[in-house]
Amino acid sequence: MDNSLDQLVEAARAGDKTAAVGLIELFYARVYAFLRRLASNEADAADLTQRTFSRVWQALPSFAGRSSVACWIHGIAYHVYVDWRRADHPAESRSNDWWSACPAADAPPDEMAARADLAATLYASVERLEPGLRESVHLHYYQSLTLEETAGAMGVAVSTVKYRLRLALDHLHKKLDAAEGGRMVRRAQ
Amino acid sequence: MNTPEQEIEDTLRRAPAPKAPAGLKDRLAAQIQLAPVRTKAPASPQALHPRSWLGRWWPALAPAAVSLACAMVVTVQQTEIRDLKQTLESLSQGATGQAPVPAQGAVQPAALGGPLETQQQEIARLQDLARRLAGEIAQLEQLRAENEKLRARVAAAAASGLTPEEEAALAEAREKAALARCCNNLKQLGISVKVWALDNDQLLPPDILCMSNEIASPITLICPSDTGRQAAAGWSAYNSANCSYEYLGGSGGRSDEEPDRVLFRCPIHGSIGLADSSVQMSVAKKHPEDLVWKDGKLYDKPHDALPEGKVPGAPSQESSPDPSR
Repeated sequence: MDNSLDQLVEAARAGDKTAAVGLIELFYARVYAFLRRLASNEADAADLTQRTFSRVWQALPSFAGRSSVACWIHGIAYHVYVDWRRADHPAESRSNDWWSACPAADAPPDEMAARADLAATLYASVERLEPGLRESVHLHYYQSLTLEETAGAMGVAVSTVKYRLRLALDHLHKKLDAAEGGRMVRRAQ
Repeated sequence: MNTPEQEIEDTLRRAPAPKAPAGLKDRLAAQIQLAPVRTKAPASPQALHPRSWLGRWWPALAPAAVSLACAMVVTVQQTEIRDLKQTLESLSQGATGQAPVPAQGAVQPAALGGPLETQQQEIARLQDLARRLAGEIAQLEQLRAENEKLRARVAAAAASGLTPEEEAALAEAREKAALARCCNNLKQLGISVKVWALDNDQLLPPDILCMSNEIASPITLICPSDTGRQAAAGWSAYNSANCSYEYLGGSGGRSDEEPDRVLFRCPIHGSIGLADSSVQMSVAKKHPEDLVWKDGKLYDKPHDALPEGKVPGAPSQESSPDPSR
């Protein structure tokens, strides 16, 4: 997989448009999902995805291969999002309904039904985290990047990512416990 | 029920991924703008790294080149020196092998075959020249001796820094400054007595220590010329050894009734401080006859005010023993 990715990158760097299309096919869905979760609507997410790949083509000649291709592209997407948010686009948190409206394609329906309540609460709590914590969770858990890749994409140390994830998990744990207690109280009433 | 952390992480990893809108992939593919490929013609290794061997070896080559150049210069110089020595040796050998060469300008009477008169004139001229040269040498010796004397004087002046006249003038200026500061101290002490008397029904203070609130600092009690005495570090450490001046107001009295009464006296300069806080400079030294003891108090009486029949300078009949400070 890595070899084929490296070959694709090398070919795209050499001017092979087919290889560039191959890179798009491999990454555009992940990049779009990442940006869609962070941005406010589909149009903004699509626009940010296009900006991301535009920067990818610009930065392709200087890609030295010190990190994985996924980490590199996610790093570009992350910085595109940060630039966009700084340009007077504050982050907006997703509601439970929004998360319920975009179910995972690979999740079994029965599992989704059993855990829908918990998951919706959890995802909504993630969106209410501080920006650094939220983006760390997005990259590491939602985008399935490793700790090193997450740190590389965000431009921070691995220890910083670990610390942020630990804080985020503690926060989510408390939120879920509070939500669980509230539901039990409502059922008792 | 607490949610296990592992379940939270698993749930996060299973987060739903929003699907990309249709046509996004095509738009991305249409916007591909790859940078122009920069193909380089194959070049020789030396062209790729034009300064590779030079850049690697120049730190060693540069000192080696400098050393080689120095060695060449030294060799050339040694060769020239050897040639010169050989030339000199050959010349000296040639000189010893020949007859002594007459000095340049010297006259060979036999060779010249001139008349005797000319030789006599030449001898006389040379003798005259020798006398003049001897005179010039004597003058030079004299100048050299004078120069050495001047140098010794300059060195002595530089060692002391000042000439004796300048040192005397400086000492005089210092003494004047000390006298002025002494008078200043007496003036401050007189004012302190005045201030103390204001708070105490115009009575004179019994001693100096009770004026510790009025006197600014114990340094005021030290005459600048009294180098053997030190000011007290504070009023708690004050004693009579920390005061240069005699206080003559301890016998009592009022400050507003006897303005010409002497309250302070400097034993070094002879300056006095009166009850009206005025200061008379060096009176006790220059005009001791003006000071009169009366009822255990010392007064400053100018010549005109002396009682009839009193001899200036003679000890007063009314004088009392030296009061305590």
